Amino acid sequence: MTTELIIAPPVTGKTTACIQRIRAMQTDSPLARIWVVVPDRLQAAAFRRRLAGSGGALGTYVGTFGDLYRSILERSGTYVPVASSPLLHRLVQETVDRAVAQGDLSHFAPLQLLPGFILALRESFAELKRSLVYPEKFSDFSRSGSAAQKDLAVLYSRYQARLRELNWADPEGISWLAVAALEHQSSATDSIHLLVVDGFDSFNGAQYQALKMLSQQVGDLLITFPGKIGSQRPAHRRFTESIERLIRELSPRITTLDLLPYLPPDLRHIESQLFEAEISAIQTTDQPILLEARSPADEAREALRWIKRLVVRKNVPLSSCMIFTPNPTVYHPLLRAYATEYGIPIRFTHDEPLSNSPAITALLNLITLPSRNFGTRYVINVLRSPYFELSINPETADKFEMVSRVAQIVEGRDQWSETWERLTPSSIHGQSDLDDERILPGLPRGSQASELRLVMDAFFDNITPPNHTCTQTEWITWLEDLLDRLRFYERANSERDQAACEAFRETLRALVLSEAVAGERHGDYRQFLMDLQGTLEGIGLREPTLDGKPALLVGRMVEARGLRFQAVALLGFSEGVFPANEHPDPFLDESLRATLGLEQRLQREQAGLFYQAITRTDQYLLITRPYLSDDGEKWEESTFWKSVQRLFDTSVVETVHPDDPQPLTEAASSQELLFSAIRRRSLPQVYEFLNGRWNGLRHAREVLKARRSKLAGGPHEGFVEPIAPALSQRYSPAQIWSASRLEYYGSCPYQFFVRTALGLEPRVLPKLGLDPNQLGSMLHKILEETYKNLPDPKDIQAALVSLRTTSEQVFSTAPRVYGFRPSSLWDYEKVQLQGKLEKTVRALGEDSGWTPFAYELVFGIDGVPPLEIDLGDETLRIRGVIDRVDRDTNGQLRVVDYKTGSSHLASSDLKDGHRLQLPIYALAVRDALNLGTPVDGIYWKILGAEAGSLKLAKFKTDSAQGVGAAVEVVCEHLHRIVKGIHSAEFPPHPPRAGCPSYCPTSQWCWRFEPEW
Amino acid sequence: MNENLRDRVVSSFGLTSDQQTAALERGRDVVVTAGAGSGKTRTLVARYASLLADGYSPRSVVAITFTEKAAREMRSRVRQSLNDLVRQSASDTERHRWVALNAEMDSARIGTIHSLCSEIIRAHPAEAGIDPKFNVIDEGLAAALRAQLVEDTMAFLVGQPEFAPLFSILGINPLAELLAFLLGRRLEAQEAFDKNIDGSQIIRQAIETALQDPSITNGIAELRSMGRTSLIQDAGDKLAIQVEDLLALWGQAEKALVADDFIACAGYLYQARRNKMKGNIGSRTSRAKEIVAELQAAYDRLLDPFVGGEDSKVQPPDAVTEACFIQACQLIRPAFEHLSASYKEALRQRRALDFDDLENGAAQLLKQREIKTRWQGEIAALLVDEFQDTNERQRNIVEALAGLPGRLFVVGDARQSIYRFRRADVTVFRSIQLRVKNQGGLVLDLDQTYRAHEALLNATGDLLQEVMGTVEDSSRPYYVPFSPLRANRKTTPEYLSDPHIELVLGAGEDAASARPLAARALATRLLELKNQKQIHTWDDVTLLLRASTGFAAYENAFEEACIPFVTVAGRGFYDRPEIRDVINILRALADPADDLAMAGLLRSPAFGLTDTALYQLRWQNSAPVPYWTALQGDLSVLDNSDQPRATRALIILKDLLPQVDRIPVSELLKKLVDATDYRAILAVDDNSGTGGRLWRNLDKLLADAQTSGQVNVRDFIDYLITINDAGAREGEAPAEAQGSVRLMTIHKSKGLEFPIVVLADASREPKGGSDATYLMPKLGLAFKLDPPPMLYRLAKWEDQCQNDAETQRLLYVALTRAKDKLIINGHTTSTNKGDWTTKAWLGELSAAAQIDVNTLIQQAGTEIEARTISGQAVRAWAIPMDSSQIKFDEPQEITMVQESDIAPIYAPLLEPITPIVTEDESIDVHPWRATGSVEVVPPGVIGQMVHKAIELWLFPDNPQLIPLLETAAQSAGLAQLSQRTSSHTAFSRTSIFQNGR
Repeated sequence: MTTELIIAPPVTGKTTACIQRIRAMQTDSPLARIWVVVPDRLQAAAFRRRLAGSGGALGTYVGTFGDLYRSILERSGTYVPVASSPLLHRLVQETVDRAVAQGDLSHFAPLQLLPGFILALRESFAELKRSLVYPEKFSDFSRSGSAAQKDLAVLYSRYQARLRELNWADPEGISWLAVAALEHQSSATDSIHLLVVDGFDSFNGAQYQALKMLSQQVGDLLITFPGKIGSQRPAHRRFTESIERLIRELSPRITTLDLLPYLPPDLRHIESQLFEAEISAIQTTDQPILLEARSPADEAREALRWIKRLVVRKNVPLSSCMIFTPNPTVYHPLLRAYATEYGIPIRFTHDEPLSNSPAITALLNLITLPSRNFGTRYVINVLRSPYFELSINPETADKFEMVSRVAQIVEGRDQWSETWERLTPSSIHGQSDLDDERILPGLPRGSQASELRLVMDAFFDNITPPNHTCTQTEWITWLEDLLDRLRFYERANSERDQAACEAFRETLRALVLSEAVAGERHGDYRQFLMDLQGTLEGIGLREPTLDGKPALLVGRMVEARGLRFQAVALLGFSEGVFPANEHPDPFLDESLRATLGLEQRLQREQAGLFYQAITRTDQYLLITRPYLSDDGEKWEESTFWKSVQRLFDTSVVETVHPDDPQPLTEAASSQELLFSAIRRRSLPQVYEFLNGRWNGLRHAREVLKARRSKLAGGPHEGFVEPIAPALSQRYSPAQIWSASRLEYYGSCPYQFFVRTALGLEPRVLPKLGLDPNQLGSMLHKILEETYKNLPDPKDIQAALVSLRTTSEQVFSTAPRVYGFRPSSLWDYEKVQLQGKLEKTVRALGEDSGWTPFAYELVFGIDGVPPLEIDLGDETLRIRGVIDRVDRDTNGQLRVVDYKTGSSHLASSDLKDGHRLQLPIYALAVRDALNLGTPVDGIYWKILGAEAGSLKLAKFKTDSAQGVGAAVEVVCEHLHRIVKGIHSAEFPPHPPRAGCPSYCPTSQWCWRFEPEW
Repeated sequence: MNENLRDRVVSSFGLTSDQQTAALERGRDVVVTAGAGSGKTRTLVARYASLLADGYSPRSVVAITFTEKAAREMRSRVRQSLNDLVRQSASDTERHRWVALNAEMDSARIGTIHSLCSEIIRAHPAEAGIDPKFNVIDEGLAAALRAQLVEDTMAFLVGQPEFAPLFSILGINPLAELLAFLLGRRLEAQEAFDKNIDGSQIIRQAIETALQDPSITNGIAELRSMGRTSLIQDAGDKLAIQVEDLLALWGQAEKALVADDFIACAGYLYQARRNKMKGNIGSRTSRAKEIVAELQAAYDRLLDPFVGGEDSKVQPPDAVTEACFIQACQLIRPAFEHLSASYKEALRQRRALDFDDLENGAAQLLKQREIKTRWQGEIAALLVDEFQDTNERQRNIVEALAGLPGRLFVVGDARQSIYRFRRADVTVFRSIQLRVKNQGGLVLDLDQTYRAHEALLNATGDLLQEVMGTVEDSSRPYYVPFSPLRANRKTTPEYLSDPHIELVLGAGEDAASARPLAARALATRLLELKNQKQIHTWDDVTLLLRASTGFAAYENAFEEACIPFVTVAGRGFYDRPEIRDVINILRALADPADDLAMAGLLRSPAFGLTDTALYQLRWQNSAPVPYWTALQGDLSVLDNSDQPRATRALIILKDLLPQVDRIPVSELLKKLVDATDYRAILAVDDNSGTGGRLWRNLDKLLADAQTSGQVNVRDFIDYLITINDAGAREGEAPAEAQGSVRLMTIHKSKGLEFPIVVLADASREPKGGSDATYLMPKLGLAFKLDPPPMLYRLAKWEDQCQNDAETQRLLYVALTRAKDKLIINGHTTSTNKGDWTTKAWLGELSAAAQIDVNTLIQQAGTEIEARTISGQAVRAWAIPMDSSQIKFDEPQEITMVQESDIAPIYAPLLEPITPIVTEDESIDVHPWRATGSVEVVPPGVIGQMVHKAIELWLFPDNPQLIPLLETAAQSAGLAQLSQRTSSHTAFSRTSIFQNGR
């Protein structure tokens, strides 16, 4: 039995020495049992590869300490199942619950139900266990400690007792059992002839203890460790303490490898001089090692480009390249995205959270619908989700979405039911463009609504959980039945989805198991969901394998040890990223850690990690950093960056500005190639196979040029000459226009093109409160009915009485007629509207001199001839409905048009062609209805209880005044409009005050200028 | 470490004597006023390093910075100084000490107040009752959450009859807006409610104070003292009657006030001002007339702002309104508390805290004696930067942490307090100054600046002192007068010629037409300066604007003049066409039946179909065809150029649509961008002035998508809409000023300096109008009704006064950014009388420079030299009115990159030879039901059992076999005993077992 410790700086052949030892052992005794322990699976794979490369790995088991522990236990006949994460979660929660119930927690009781507390406890317990701090020891220690430490000790003891009671172990507990087995039964390992421990730069308490026992039981123990005995180098500080402890506890034979690191000169210079106060020389390098790029995204691009360059030009195998990052949440998605673009297969060494998986997101969205009271947007997401077989096609889902929008179904089954109740018996149909104040939405009604209702009810029934309490296993049965019915697992068919489903299934299985092990847990659905979500937290999703294909490995900076590559890129070397700012652990504070021998949380010697990271490569090293922070501010270099920078002259740093022109040969994807080529405005002939895309870009240039042009127009902005014949046919002289449509063109020809010619309208989300169309229709109806049967419309009191009765009637049927679902605000809205209507009726009554005598006069429909306007080269036919015509004591007429809104009702709106209705109606009164010639016309703001500022009688142009002047202006506009339509010219023309947000093109029109 | 070392450390920073004093002072609190460019950061870092030299650890020295950026900078500079100290060490021990300290810097407490609060809360989760794993919620998500909860609370309130009056008094939308406002400032709101401020008393007090002002009492007394006869003699009949009526109303007002009826009192006062202070009657020499005029002026100054009377449009105070206001106030409190509680609960469910929670949580914890003692024990020194931008709550946290005198070191400059909109309170800095001074601490003024050269500094000082004034005003504690700095740079850079301040103007009929001219004027002048070599490179020049709304005019002018520029964090990100295009494309992907979105997609530069094609696709028959259907149909209806584009769109959509909601939005976006070459498309325009702005914005959108972590496309679009509505993250992608002029807001420029500063758009008037709601520490909550209640009027006035004071400070910050030269640019407009008028800062500054704008415009095109009050020269120049005819030079050709002969690397990677991944251990897949209800014995588990039994060489007769099988089954997740029993049975039927038997 010998114990040997090889201590040497990185890249001096420690692993090679191990392999040589293994080979020698195998030569001497071919059947010898050899174990190699390395820190993680990644290193295990690497070690196996090297072993295989050196002549075969047969007979040598390579694994982690965990693997070794399990082997020891199995061989000593100790079979203890290892609890999964969900089971542990459950046990810790149960421990806390019981302690609180029994009044044993004086400090932490307020945190009982907070999921983060359970996670924090699990981490603390795991750390204590890894360091071989037994509950008894911790309790002893905490006697003189704070209230928090006392509580922690109580929980730790109870948790451990509960595990023992159930005869389960947690992953860290395996090390305890193994150490115990080693202490009691030496036969567990006596068949191991050689135990090699390689690749570590620190050990935890349990590992020290195990090594100590093993050194007495295995044939030979060989441990390698980085550093140098007695080294004072700051770069070695991280290892010094461990080396001393190893020597103290194992009294090994010490071997040092006094070789120079097998590194190219630049890397050797860095290795030997890093962090030294005095440096031997400032070197010049022929290739920059430090690369600064604008942002983490650009760093990712540049690092991948560097690797691709090495693979393509230097024949470095992709599998011999690795990227280490300090912050996976930031860098890994970026690396994934750009690696895909560059065609580089990529693989991450650690799991991503299961909750990031699209399949699981969809699933959680589904099962949380009941607890979100079937919020409509979530329901629609489920209806449209690709993961569920719901027998609801996209068209039906469209209809549901439309109903929810018009009926303002915000949430809840009851809101759907109420809506169906209103829609099914009715046969009201609508949608009229007579007047944009009175458009009724085209809702499904009658039998169509009944059919939709059946589908929707079936959907709700399908996904609604039972409304009682049951055990967790019963809930899981219900859930699995549901997922089977929806064929979820079949539909989640991508590789990533399937891996996610497997992890999800594991979670469910663990919940069932935890109930079988720790007892039944009864609860309602809400409780079950909370348990499930709490359990899912922290579950990782392993990367699907790349089917044997080589891939670029990406790992975390802390994993940069033991492994060797030909090229390594290290990302994130700006202040605050790496080294990261450290924070104390609130549960196990620093002094406690020092006392109990736990690893310190502060001063974790990130410098040592950095030293390890830069020595992982045999040939190529790249260190990158972002130089601009998110807010555009300068981002300082990390102290580690500077520590490398000072070893070289300026040649070591390269700065990549995204604005700098890049050579085409450096493009790492066809997208980048085209990006660079288009900026230099030429694509060399050698890339002619990209001509198709290049031509696409040239066309895009034309489109963008049109967009940037100060004048709107051209084929991309409403000039559609090729379809002029089609438009002339569609809008022939026989066409009867509504004033609203003409106004669309009048205010912005492009709006007309999109809205009327193309027939496009925006889709909006359902929202509380009436939508403007419904409100407009309803108010018009109320005013019409109020005055219709009134003997004296100027009798304000009578009008008010009539208004009350009418509005009550209209309000009571409004939800059904206009198809909205009255929200809880509806009662207040009614009161408010009533108040405003009363104000308007009063104001109309006080509007001296005019008495209404006709309401809702239609022309151009229902057999009434349209208004015909002779525009010289064409006669324009118009239909419409005039809200009201007033007469004064002299018998003169005035046209009144009610408006719900209060904007754009000024003379300038008529002059600009945005408002054409009033003069058209005045003409209609005269020519279509033959009632006489109106002398005035006003817009009446219903909610503002006053007239708009445009009054036809006072309308002035340079040469005329009054209705005649207004008619003249309107005719000019109509002429312009008709001419524009026939010549197929619809250029966008934003109104002076900006574009209204309701303009359908607001989503994408190039000239859209929001109203202020 | 000793005092010697401390001195040595500090002296290594090369500080001035004042800076040294600030760095070395011990044993008492220190407040430093650090003027612009006075070497503040250097002093702070020196003090920090000197504290380490004293023997304190980085954990015990807390430095609070205003931004994360400042924290990074400070940490980096401290590290650098420690590295320098390592090299300068006198001994090995000292060197080791510095090396060790440098390693400890990773855990140094240097950060914003919020990061410190976060650490305090994390250290005491149980005491704070907060989830130990809390996150700080993203600004955009918090905004979305708040909007949602206001909606929910409205629905809740509607169902509670006791809240009915709120709806009738305020109306639905104003109530929702008021609640949203309160939730956005919930800590202040809660504090205001807790104070139980009596608004009536405040108004009463304000009236009383005004009525007792000598300018009023003297006038009234003198009028009263004039007998009727002498009054008639002095003023004539008409005025005498008016004066008598005035006095009668005044008397009634006073009586009403005595009777505690302040509304009636205000009513009388209103009447008195409205009707009885007319100045157009009475003889010119009348004393009474003079007094009335003085009274009127005093009234307008003291009472009109909240009582009204001067303006006929302002309605008189009204008892009904006041009553409604009080009634509403009483109901708003419980409504707010309900809302606030729901928000807290929603945050709790998300395990999140917002910035308010951090501040409040830490403040509450520090009220507990034990916790406070612990923290005071841990902290030996507290350094706070930019203290002028803190508020009372933050000050309390800082003082609670500091504990005993001697630990606090505060740096600020009241003149540079410009964050009132983020609830900073300039009076806090001044009060801590006073407190420290009174307690024998050190109050120091670093008034030597290293920034502007002397000539520029003096000229700027002249202008600022005219605009800001120099005398304190005790009635306006928030007002900060100008005080000068001393220049360290005595000489002017050689390349510059005097004058160092210039006014560059454009003139037009109205602001809309004049503003572009002003921008052209500036572009013209900058080109001239460049030609004269007074501008070396364009990045020497920075335009500072009060509001980002002013950027567009300058962007247009610079584009036209081919002056390269970058807009630093311009706002309106989501309104940028390149971003709207992408969001619209996402809409279409989320719902291909959304024809409007699909039309936008097809005509976007990414696909480039013409509008003709849009029509032809849609109208093939008498009814419109959905675009997605049309694309999959016969495309021969399109012309030859549109056809391939439609085909390309179809291919790309067919590829992307099945991936919608199956991959994260960020991946979908990336695929979309890659498939359409969209980034390259946005680069086609790079040479026409946009300089990469478009694709930089696209990159930012991709990054936003990544940060959001959203999977569902519709959710992502909703998220964008919400954060846009909430005004969060609307800044454009950051850009570098590589050889470009920078455009930025003054707020953004804080802490920075530039060789040449242009105060641009200086004639833009601050955003006018009033807010619907005010929340002030002394006045509490005030909101608008019709007519507005008096408390609201008072609050609005107070707010206006404070804004005016801040506007002056903002100007101070802008002008003190310049190192070498200052250009003031804006426009002037013509009045009805034909004169020229300049508004806002430009008006004040041109007056201070004694420039007659009328003359300047008359002599447009010719420069004028004016002098400031102390005789510093200022050059003024206005662009001629017909300058729109001026043509700038054509853009220069782009730089071509020399292509090398190296093989390109864009081709897909060849498959390298050595596989690596297959060596990993495979993942066990268990595709059976968790409950075991369908498949009782999973074959995979049996396989594992067999494998294990062979490995351990265990056979049926071995007693250890059963425990092994049991453990294997349990570990594989077989929960039910029946499952496990069945698995044992299945195991026993395997051939290996049978043979082994």
